[in-house]
Amino acid sequence: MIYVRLPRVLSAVLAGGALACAGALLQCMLGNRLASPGIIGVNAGSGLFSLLAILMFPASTAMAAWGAFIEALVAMVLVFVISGTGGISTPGRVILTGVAVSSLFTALLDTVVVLRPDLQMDRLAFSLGGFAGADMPSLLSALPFFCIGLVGSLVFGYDWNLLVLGDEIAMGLGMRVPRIRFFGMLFAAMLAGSAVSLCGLLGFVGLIAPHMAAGLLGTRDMRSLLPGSLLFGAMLTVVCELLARSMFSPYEIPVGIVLSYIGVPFFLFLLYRRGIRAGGE
Amino acid sequence: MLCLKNVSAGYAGRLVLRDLSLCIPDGLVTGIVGRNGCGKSTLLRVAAGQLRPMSGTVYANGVSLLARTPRAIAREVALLPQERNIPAMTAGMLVMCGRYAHMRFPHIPGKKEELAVQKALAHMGVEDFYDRELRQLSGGERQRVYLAMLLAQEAPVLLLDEPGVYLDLPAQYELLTLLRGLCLEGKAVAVVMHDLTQAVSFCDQVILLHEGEVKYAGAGNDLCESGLLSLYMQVLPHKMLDPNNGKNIYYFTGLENQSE
Repeated sequence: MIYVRLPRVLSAVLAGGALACAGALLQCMLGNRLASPGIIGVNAGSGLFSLLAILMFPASTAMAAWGAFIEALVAMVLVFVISGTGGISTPGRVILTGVAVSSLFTALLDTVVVLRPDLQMDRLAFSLGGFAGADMPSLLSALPFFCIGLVGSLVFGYDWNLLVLGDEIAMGLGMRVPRIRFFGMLFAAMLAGSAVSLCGLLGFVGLIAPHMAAGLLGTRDMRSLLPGSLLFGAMLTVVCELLARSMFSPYEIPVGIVLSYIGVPFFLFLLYRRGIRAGGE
Repeated sequence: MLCLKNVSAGYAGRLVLRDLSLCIPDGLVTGIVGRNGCGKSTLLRVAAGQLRPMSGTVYANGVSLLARTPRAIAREVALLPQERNIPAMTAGMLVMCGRYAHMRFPHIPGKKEELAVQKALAHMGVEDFYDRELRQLSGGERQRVYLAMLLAQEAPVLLLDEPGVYLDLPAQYELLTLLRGLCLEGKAVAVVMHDLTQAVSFCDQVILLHEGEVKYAGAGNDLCESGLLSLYMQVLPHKMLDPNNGKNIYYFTGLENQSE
């Protein structure tokens, strides 16, 4: 029992927390509340490499984590290099480039699946997101990326706050903006990569958990928003994972689906409440 | 005192400032005027060490800024750019951001930082806003909070890019009074201004920029008498005597209006 359940719950905690933190970080750095690990090509990129790693090293789970992380990084570097041509990398361009790069990786992913139909199930499980394949080795191989990404993003909390003011002001206040942005992207890639290698595409957590945390904490100060997002993402994912397993037992529905059923109404409720508050002021 | 010496600067393939030299002295307000695109904002970016000049040097109190780290520069020069978003944070948090250059990594604010923030807020008369969200403040109040952030930076040189642009007239004059107060404390203040009447009557020194070159630097009244304004800014100054204090005030009209 403990060998089956424990890795799954731990994976859910880690992946949910990681995606939520990555989401909070990206939303802050890109100055866009719609940003999530999915939007800048990280998810699709990680997926492609995870699948390639499964294809090439079928026995090695560690390779999947490395693959996911490396590709998350490749996708991010690609996005940043292209959107940064001409010296100015505005958030709008980053997001546009991310969407384009994302489509490209998805196409590559689908090409691999078409050529190797036996991977069809892997692909489906991956894009729905789930913890059916969770075990201790893959958890352990994702852990270092998660830890570095998490500690890094927490330690730089005050710096992320400055980025919200805009590059020009942040520079004027004495910050090395490109360097800090690079670190931010690196940490976000590590977090997202570690999560994707565990559970596939569960990107929605990365979008809503930071909003939930911000709504309930009443602040977007990154120093409290990051731990808050971590907590919310982890809780949300664990609850959904539990439901996914037990609701239609013995059948199991993918966590990604449950997450949408639970997360979306709550998210809409938060938006609704914020609307009422803003209207009342 | 901040000095630019023989500075040429620009962006990829486009030279904006050409061999420009000027000084922003301590204890005075320097107004920078010129038409759109003449290089005012670029000048401020170079002066604040954000844009590296292609040639020439920037000196703060006689020491070159160019070789220094962004953090060291931020303790010499503070810049308030024109374009700003309204971040989702409280006034206290924003002013704390001004302390960045005074903190070491990982930038955890201590008692000293809190005191500096309180002092800066009080200086601008907005200490009550500490816990207020910036979104809830009016444009003038927000401007004061941003100025408090600049003050918290504790740099002897302040550069402001059109600080009055979104403010109503009373708020603009309040802002000028605040700036004058900072000058009297010995700060060097340079302001990019569009309102020539304000620039001429308020600033101790007016610098006229045209196509990246300094065409005039000196007293505002002399600038109005020199004929340079119609040449480079396409406006005509008109003199009026202020009966209250016997000083001249100037108002301006476009060249076209005059020919009618």
